[in-house]
Amino acid sequence: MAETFQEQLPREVAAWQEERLISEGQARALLARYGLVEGELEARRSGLVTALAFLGALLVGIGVITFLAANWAFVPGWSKLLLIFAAVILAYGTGYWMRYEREWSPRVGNALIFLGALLFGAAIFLIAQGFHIRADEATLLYLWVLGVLPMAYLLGAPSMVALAVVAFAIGLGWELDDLGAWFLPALGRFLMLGILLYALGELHRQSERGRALQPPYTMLGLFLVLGVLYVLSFSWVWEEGWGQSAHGAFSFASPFGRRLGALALAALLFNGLHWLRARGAAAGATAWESLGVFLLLGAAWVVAAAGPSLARAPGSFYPPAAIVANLLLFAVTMGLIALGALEHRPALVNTGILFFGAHLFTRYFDIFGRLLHTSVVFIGAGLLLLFGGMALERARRRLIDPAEAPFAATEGGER
Amino acid sequence: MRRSFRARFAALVGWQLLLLLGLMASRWAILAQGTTVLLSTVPVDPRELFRGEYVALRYGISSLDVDRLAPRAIRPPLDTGDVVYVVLAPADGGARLPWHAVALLDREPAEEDLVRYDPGALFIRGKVTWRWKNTVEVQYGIESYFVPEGEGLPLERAAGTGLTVEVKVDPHGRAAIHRLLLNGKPITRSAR
Repeated sequence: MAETFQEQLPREVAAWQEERLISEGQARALLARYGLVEGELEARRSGLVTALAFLGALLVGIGVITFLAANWAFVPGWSKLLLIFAAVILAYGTGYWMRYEREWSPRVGNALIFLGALLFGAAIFLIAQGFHIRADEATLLYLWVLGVLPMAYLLGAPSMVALAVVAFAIGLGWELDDLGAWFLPALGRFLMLGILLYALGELHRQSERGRALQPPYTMLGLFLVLGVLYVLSFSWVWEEGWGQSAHGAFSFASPFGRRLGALALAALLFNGLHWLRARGAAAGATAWESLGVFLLLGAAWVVAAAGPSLARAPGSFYPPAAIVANLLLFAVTMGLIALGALEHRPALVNTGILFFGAHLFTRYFDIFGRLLHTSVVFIGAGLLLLFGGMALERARRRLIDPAEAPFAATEGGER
Repeated sequence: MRRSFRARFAALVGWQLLLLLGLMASRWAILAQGTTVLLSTVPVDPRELFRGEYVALRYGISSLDVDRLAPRAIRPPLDTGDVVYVVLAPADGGARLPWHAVALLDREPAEEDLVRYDPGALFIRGKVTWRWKNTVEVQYGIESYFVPEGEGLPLERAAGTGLTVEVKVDPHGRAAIHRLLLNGKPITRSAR
């Protein structure tokens, strides 16, 4: 009986690999294309189950939070309290039982444990509501982080780390709002938080156990850093007279400034540790990465502490600070793409290219929008999208090892 | 191995419940031990978010004119984010009238210092959120009053000028809202 293509391919691929015609990664990509990688199809299916289960948990969590938020008068306070305590214990208990005791549906079990973490947050806000604690009290969110983060480490759950990081970032935003922080100092602080998260993520990547928890730190950190740099790259951000000097609550010496200083020091420490642990070719890349982190922290300090004074730029075509921010954004996206290509990390390449494309397109409208006729601007933008997008996609595919491409989009794919 | 993992998981669930109980206990302690203080308030800008509907309360002591307080009150430098202690004294007509601020300090006053301002004085802890010349805005953590859905706006409309808040203040100056009073009468859910 004639051999089918599916039967022939694995043998051929093995031979090509042996003859060094293709790399191990390329071999895996070829086999994955025809569903011939063991467990690959199953992994994709279970990914769908995980996504659906987490979506379900999220919807139930939001439903419970909004039900409690409605503060129905006909439900006595103590019964709402009992209900939420019971819900937290039930979600955690059932999740644990399904995930670790019976193991018949570990993904749904994980989602239920995540639901427990959401309900724990809902319980904090229910108590705050009952005692009329100020609605924007950042301590409430920090309490949520304090409860969820140890659990995330015990279970090795990246979703819980993401929840804790997002809650912390919102808490920081509330705190800044309380202090009446102006736009630029607030952006500087979020930039610093982003750098810290990225450095923490890199440190987690150094150990087998930490690697599972790395993606939320790295990716949320990167999106914060690049997002803030993107906003800072607009000239209007620097042209506004924010009317606030770089003193007071936002000076280096203020209690808040000192806390931010501790965050920045932690970022440097984590990145330094990462550098020390890096070996071989990775050490060179890490050295450049550390330099980038160091420079960005400096920039974050300047924006956070002296931002409003910098904003008083003369009405030139482009304020000098905005030019620096553009150069920084360009350097960081390029560095990220290079690092991703060097270390075969598709998530870094994809993120770098995404922000590079957005940056390019924005500056095109920014600059040419003022100089050219509207119709020409739109035709140019269309061409830029068509050909620029195509070029970026080709570059992206070339930079990412083909072996990594099929797994690049998944959460666990970030390495 | 599995048993120890289960024990650690249970301990962390217990840790979360402990945090919740701790949050409740800290507020109960203020409400149980605190001295009752009446503050005049104006509800502003009811909002509805994930956290529920509430009325944002602005007090007579939220905005302080440093020049009009006792001479021992602190002078600049005072910045946003600074923790301050506001000395409150009951109105001349009795404790059932709104209290007012008599001094603004940068450290916790001792008992003997308080009586110098007023025999019945106490202090409340706050955080500076804004400062302009001699005016200081202070936040005390009692600026939200949660109401059932749809009751925020009517409350704001009905309030007029007769709205006061009964606040409990503990010996360290931490405050918690006890109840809301409209023309001296407690507003309870059944009454609304």
